[in-house]
Amino acid sequence: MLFNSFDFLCFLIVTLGLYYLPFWRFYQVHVLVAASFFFYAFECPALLGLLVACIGMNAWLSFKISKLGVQDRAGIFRFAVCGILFNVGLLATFKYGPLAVQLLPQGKSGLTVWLQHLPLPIGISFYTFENISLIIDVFRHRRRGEMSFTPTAAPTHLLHSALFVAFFPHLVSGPILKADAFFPQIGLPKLWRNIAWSDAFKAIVLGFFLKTVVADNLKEVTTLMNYPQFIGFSTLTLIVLLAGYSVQIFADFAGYSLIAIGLASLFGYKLPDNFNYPYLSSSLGEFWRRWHISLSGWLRDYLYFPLGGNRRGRLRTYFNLFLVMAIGGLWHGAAWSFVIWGLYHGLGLAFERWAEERWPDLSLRLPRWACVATVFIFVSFGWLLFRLPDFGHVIAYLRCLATNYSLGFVGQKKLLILVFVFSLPVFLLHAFKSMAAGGRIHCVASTVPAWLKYGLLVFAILVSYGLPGAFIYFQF
Amino acid sequence: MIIRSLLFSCGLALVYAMAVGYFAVGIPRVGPTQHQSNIIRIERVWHRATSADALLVGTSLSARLPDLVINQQIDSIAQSATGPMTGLLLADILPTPPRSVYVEVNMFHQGVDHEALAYFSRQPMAALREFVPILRQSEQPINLLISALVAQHAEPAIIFDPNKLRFGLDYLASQNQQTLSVEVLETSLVDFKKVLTSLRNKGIHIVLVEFPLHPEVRNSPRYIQSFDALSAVFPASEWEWVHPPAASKWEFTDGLHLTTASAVDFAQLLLTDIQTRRTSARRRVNN
Repeated sequence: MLFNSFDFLCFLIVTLGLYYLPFWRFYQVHVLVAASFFFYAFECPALLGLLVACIGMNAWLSFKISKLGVQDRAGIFRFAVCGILFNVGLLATFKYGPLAVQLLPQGKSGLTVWLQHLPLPIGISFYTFENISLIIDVFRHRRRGEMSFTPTAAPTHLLHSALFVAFFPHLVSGPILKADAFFPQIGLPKLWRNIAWSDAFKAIVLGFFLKTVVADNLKEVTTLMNYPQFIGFSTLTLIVLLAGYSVQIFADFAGYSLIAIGLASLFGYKLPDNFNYPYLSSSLGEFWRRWHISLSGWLRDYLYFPLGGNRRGRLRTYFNLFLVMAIGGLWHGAAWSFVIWGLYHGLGLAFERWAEERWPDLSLRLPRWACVATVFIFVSFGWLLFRLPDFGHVIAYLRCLATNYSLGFVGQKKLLILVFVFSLPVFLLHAFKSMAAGGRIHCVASTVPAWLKYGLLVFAILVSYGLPGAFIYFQF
Repeated sequence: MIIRSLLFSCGLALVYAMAVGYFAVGIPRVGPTQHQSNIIRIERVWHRATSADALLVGTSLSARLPDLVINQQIDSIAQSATGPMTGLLLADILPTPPRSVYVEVNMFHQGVDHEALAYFSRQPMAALREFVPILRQSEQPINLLISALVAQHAEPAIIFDPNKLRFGLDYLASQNQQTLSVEVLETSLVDFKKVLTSLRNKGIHIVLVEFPLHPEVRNSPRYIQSFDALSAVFPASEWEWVHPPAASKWEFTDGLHLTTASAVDFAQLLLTDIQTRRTSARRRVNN
């Protein structure tokens, strides 16, 4: 069910109504879990079974860990390892099975045929990472002998785990939640009068604006990046298209995340921010602290730090960066282009670290705008691997960039206008932010009254929406 | 704040609707991109009160037929970058069904544009667009601005360029050496026939149109396979066909698409065919 569909609007109204019924106050979590399962099963009911089984298994394992004595370190460790292996195995089977088949020797065994025909459950990358977060957070709390943040009764633990993983605003495309940050919010009664209507409205309107006006309209132009349509374009046109795609992917995903945050706040839950003006980053490290924050935070806390982070020498740090970014790339999709994209960023981060050590005051000497532009260009070239899944087409695009050298826009003026007009709001958003200090992405600091700004955004959504398309991150 | 924002946006929408009605009535609507052009072309037919006499459905091959020639006797919802199935499925749910449908069959197996189908069929937005024109793609500010800019300049004619043709033929040769999988071909044909039969059962006259292709493309394994399959499923004894005259010298931009001059010629040929069929149908009725 897409957030930008009428079906979803009906679903939301009914769920909100049931959720806030006074005599059902004690069943609010039940209502949300049931609604979330319905939301997930709406398009493909068969995949709900896998989600429920996955939740059940992780709830059981995390409950077992939370119930073991602090002295039983081996037991705690065993259950945690089982949980991680279960989730990684599940992801490997459903998401990476077809890729693994390509690596196997040719021949049609029963296993390869089965792997090739497995469906890709929507949101599996997101909910698997959340389940791993549940297992590791419970494990860490238990090992340190701290009070568990999960309920002590098994049925309540199962119910809360189900809400943590399946809560519909974030289920299919994040933000990826961390168990120890979300669980404390569950179970507290939520009241209609406490809804932060204004914040929810702002987040949802800005989210829909980014998705329907910016991303959906830019999508119409960036289809020209498909092979072989771009072959005849000049260098400048190809650069404009690439910049347009950078804006599109930001608007699409940030839009989704904002809608998710707004929807969650209607039910009294606070989801973490997923984007913080990423194209204002002056270094690649900063970019990853601003882009898909929940994923980069997850990779940092559950992978980079356990691997030793930057505390085990220079070479090990570079290796850790490569490994974490390669896994981050592979998380996006079962294709080599995503691994290369991850390694590309890993290489960039390693180089940046090396350069910082070699010339400690380099970043101070360079003007900030030059650093921001360099990061934007580096990141934009990386998006080519997202846009063109065939690596050969990426090479063709780069070859055209180098050989079709021309600054002309002959026959492509419309394209220029469209990319300019629909990218402008995102650049303005970033520009406002760079001028104003503090604030979240949807709280643009300005003296213009909020009703005027958001009224304009609603008007733009009404008369300038693009042809509705699925969210780019749904495929992950 | 919320109420004030909503009221303000409604006020703006009202002002915008009046401004469009006053300033932009005479501007011929075009889309800024290929996909939006497709949608706007369909909107033109979709929101018309009268039913079309004949409707042309197809891919970019048909979409390139010049509007000025073709629009006199036939409405076109031909769409670039998508198969004729999209147009047929839309013709099936058109508010005012056409009397006859001319279907370009060259690329019948090409995919369906589900976004276009959803745009015209998903309620309640589809119904709202019927009554609130500013919600249509053709009335959006940027699209209107581009339409106004385009209206000032006549679209340049697409002329014959041997280098472009060679590039196109080489690219198509690499694509068309491999035949379609039997499974894909059979599924496409079954779906195609199902929709055509459904339209026919509603009393709509169906004419299958074969567009000219460059001989290198027409004789490639993929096209031989697909045209053989088409002829078997839609025999000339049961279905009406329009074939391009073999003797004509068509000029192509890339092996598939006709140059503007050839497109005008083919459009004329199609119009003559429509005229002939209309006359003979009238005669049959009179007799």
